[in-house]
Amino acid sequence: MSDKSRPPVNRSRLWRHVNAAAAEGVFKLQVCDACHKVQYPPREFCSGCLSDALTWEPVSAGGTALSWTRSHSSVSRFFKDKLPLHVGIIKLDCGPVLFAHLSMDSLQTGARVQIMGRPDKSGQTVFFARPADTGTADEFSMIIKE
Amino acid sequence: MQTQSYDDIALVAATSLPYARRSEREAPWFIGRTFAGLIETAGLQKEDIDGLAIASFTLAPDSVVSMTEYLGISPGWLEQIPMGGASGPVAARRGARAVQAGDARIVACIGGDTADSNTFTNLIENFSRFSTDAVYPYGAGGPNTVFAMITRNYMEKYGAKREDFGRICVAQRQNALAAGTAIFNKPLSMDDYMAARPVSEPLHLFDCVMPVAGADGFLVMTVERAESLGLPYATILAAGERHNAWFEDDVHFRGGWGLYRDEMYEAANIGPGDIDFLQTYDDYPVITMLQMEDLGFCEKGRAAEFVRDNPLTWNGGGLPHNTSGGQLSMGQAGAAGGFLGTVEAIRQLTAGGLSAPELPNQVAGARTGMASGYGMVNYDRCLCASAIILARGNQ
Ligand SMILES: [Zn+2]
Repeated sequence: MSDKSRPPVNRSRLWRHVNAAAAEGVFKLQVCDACHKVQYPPREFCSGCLSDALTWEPVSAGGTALSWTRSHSSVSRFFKDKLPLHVGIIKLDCGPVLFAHLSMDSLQTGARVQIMGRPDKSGQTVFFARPADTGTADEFSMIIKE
Repeated sequence: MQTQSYDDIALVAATSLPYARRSEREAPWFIGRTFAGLIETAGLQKEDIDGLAIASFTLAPDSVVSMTEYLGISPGWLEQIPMGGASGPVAARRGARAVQAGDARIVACIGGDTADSNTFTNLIENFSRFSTDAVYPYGAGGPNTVFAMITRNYMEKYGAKREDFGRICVAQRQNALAAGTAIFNKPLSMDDYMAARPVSEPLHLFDCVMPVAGADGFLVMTVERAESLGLPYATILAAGERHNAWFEDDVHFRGGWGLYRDEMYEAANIGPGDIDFLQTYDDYPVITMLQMEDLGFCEKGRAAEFVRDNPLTWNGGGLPHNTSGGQLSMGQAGAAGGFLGTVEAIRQLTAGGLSAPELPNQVAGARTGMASGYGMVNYDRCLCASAIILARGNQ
């Protein structure tokens, strides 16, 4: 049953690496030792060359908004009183496509953004996308853990 | 290499349980009632069914195996199809090949699911690892979040307008009113469509399907057996499926159908212009547009124009589309949503044959029809794209 005080808490086993990188304040994703393909979401082996030698490495946090939505509905009680929410899909400069909470200043296809991972109120890392020249995460305080 | 034909195969006994907004019943009830309906329609005993193919999201922790015990049958061939919205055409393919190979004589294919206030939440919360990690935490909007992105991209890329999506929804509601079986049985005008509240922009209320409970099914057997049983049947002219197609596309704007449609039309020896009706998987109207394009009814990016020029109603003189009302009017009964189009296609092509009555929404003179399926949002799009071309059998 969804919890009013917390956003969704379930993650796969591999997500602990995302949490560890966020705790360091570094944007890390899995990079294939063999073919250097960057992977997201987390997985056990490379979708390019099938090598299982994937290393969590710092990668560029820059990206471009491919599309976005202003959402007025949620099945989670945590999100229901925070609507509308803005979510985007971001094409990372390093390759993968990533969902992120999107800054109000970035609600435009083609907007350049910077990705930031922070623990949400469940303590699990979520990604935020905001203009490259904005260092602050104030806009997302309702989701980020104090 | 051309795939083996399905010439000797008959699809019979199109059967649908009435959908309900929610139900206290469990998934086995929906599947069991549909099974009972199938054998009753076909005049068979349950022991005659020696193959069973099931698609369901809410059957777990049970499976197709558990269903044999519930049904009290001991089939020699079982299949569970984890392809959601693509499962109907896929079940027909799997069943047909089993019958052709002699592994089964009569296969019952059923998609069915229950729904209560928690089933939909539980389903989307744990739909896939990628989704649990990297989609669901962003607002827990379910598929609406994903398809809002796809819809906005399509609108910006090809110039489709909300009204264009509205034409699909409004026409389907007219079909639903004629068919008389839909949950949403009030007329829907373009003004109603445009005035609806936003759900996940650019998606508004009538772009989204409501989760419901229900089931649909059909039987697969040889033409010879269908004729000896005196059953009206549809034949399979061609069918195909493709999974995880175009995975290099950053945003989903085309599905796997385009990778096999030419082969399919060649095997069927007809073209899209010869298809008398089309049943697409309409989880969102933009996905119907992708199917119209990728299945060759119009060029890529031109579906908005196509739906402006072609009436989509059952009797409008254009391309009759989702003649039962589709999921946008019937609701989405889990994996039954993947069967809805195939079952409606069989129904259209068997009604009026032998002793079967005509349908209130009968497409006049329909000889051939297509049903397509689309399922399973693993991350940012559905991965399964299926389609089947059917023809009127022995009438
Ligand atoms: Zn690799």
